[in-house]
Amino acid sequence: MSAPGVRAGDPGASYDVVVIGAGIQGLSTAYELAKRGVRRIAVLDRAWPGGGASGRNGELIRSIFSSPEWVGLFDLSLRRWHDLSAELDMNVLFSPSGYLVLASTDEQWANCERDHAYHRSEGVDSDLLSHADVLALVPALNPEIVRGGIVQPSGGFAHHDAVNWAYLKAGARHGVEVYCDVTVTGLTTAAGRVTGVQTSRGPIAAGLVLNTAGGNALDVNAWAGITLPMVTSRLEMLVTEPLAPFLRQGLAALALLGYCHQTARGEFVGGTERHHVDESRSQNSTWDLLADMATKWVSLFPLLSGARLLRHWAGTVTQAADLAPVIGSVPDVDGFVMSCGWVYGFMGAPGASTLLAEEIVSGTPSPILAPFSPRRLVEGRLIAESSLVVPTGEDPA
Amino acid sequence: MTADHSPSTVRFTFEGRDVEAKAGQTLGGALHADGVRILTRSFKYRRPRGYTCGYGACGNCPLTVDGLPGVNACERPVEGGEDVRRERGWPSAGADVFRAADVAAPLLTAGFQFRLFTKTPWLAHRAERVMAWVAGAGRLPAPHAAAAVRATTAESRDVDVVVVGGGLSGLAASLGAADEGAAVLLVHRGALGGRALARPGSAGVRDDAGRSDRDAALALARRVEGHPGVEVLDGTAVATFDGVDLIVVSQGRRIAVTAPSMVVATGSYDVPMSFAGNDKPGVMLASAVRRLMHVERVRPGRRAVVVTEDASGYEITRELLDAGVSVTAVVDPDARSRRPALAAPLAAARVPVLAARPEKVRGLRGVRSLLVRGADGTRRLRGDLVVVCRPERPAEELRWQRHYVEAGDTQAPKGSPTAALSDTTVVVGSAAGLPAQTVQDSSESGRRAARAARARRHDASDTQTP
Repeated sequence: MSAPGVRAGDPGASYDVVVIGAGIQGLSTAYELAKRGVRRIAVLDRAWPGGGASGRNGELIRSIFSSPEWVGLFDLSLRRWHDLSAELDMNVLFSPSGYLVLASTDEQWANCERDHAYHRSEGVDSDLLSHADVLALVPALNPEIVRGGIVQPSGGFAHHDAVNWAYLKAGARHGVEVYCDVTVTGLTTAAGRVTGVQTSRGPIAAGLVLNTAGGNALDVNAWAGITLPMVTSRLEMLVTEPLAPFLRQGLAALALLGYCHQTARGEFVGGTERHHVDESRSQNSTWDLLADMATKWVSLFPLLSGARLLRHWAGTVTQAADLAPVIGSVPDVDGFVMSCGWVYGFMGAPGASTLLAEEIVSGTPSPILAPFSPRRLVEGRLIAESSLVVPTGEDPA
Repeated sequence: MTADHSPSTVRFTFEGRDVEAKAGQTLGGALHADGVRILTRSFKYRRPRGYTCGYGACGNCPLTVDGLPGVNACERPVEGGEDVRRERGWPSAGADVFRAADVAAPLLTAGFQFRLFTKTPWLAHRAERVMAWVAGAGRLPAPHAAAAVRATTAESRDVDVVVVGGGLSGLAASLGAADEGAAVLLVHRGALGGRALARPGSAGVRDDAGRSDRDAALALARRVEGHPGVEVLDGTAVATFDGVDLIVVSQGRRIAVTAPSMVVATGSYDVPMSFAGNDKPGVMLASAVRRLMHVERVRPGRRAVVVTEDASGYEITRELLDAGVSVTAVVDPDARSRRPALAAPLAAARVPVLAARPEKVRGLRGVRSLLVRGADGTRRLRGDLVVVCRPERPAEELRWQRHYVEAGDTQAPKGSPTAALSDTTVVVGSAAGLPAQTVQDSSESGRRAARAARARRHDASDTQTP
């Protein structure tokens, strides 16, 4: 495929850094490394830039989480989002229209009050909203599903394709080489060190291999001999035809396991999750979840009744039990760093890639990234974060 | 449902005005007969758009019917009493002040929004609001229309073979499968026969009895309707999914179909041609012109210019002349390499054939003339209708979906989907890129699908019995 920033021809035989996967994690980390003076970086993708979850996600951006770990990483990322268009010299259509976490139950409302107090103590931008406040902000909501909420006025959403392209082009300006239609089939190792990758176009030596392979990241880890308690799962979304504006904010509806926003064009974009983790590597969408999503969104926004769908699609992610990203290296495997397990990867990428590149270049561990190390999974220390849209395993039906 | 047009008429309201339609006509046909040429406006530049493809594929004719937006005029039969409105444009689609956006088009090239205001985020955010306001043409259904949608009932069906598309090939495949003993569900939107109904003059091409496509299709439709093994469902095949072979929406019903075998008979698309103004009302694809003439019984224009890249433009020219449309010229870049037999009948009707390429449509709200360029320079050809004729492209969405569902992965190996499909998915007719496939071929494909379904059911019962 020929695209701006994507190289034609075959990759070279040797690089300082080889990045597996040209999604937003791979492209942003490659850009941040190049910005810090790392030369000879290749990003390899078996399909096209942003072709996996980076081009299939819900585009939402916030830092109003409940745990210090998540708030630390995602608040840095949110600040990066506000400067991203200027830095990458492309309008990524970041829309700071606000991000609303909707509570529908007393328990969720209690969490909102607690989280809001925490946000105030940490200086994180967030406002606590009563039932009436929420309805004043989004009158189209079904009042029966609204108990209250938290809104982050500086949160919002961006255009995922624009962000992928902006990182791709900014990286290319700094000398990053991106190759598509190159399938990585294995890793080369020597004496406990990853020394390169095997690809459909031949072997490539690498000083450092970075695993940002998204839904395929567990294969890459396995080639390095790394097994972590993670699974690959499928998520689905839908988008309607353009509708008159009724929703300015990004929104997470915890009770529906859903997240949504309305684009400037008027399309309503929303995804909801199943009550169990859908362990699948297929990117085929399913009928039962489409019906479930449509029913839920019409229940939350009654005016959507009768609206027509434009598309419905699926994407895959890898995830740990705590849904937090897995970033860093493991002992005894040198020359190999992962940034995977992302479920909130779109909003987290600008921050995480900045910190990870700094860590790689300086050799000094980042205190913000440290809690997300793969070691936590080996040692069974999961991050407790209660503000996620997360399958509970309990089906109320 | 048949294509017969009884002489009786029905009436509907178009933007407050009373319009008459012949019974059996669609909104698109009736509005064309009434002289309405602008049916909607484009999203960004608000360029006028009109009747273009005739088969619900181009998106140039969505109207709001009884409060429900997005109804394709070209496919919606007039029942009588509807309240019909256009959707885009202010104060109306007929005269839209935002048409000024097209004048500024050089500033608003594709992707312009990604280059604006990168250093001034607050301005970018403000600009986004303005763009949303201008472009935000989307409408929600009126409450009573939404209630009708909500009233849809869910059903499920279990058959041996589901055939998608009731054109000539789909009809033949349905009969083949049913004759083999299979329980067949034929899903088709509108009158059985599909585009074959608009081809009354193609004798002997696909039917070994020497009938035209229309006569062959009507004969097959009668047999299908009388065959106990075939159930016809007048509805829209939505998609195939993991775990559900086909979802069909049919007049207030939503039907999940389970079928071991599927016959994909989804036909093909006309392909537009690239020239300035190719989106103006009055520039139509060949199938649309044939539908207006032969199904809607409406004269597609007064004076036509036919642009063609294959022999079909010569056939359409003869049909236009028969329908009382004068033809300024046939424009064919490869005119010199065509068989003389094609152009001879046109010479008798004094229709010149020009070896030239279309360059630009003149006309503000529709077609006034077409500029063409040949070896001897540029010529201006008068007409209110430009007919675009090219080789068709298979409607292959469903077969790709089947391919990926069977492969279990949307990143399955590249290559021909047909080659990769299992024997329980059969593609027939122009959906397979085989326009010259005969009725006999399609019938045999239907039989094959029925046998595959039987084998699949046999395998399934074997595995269930210990």
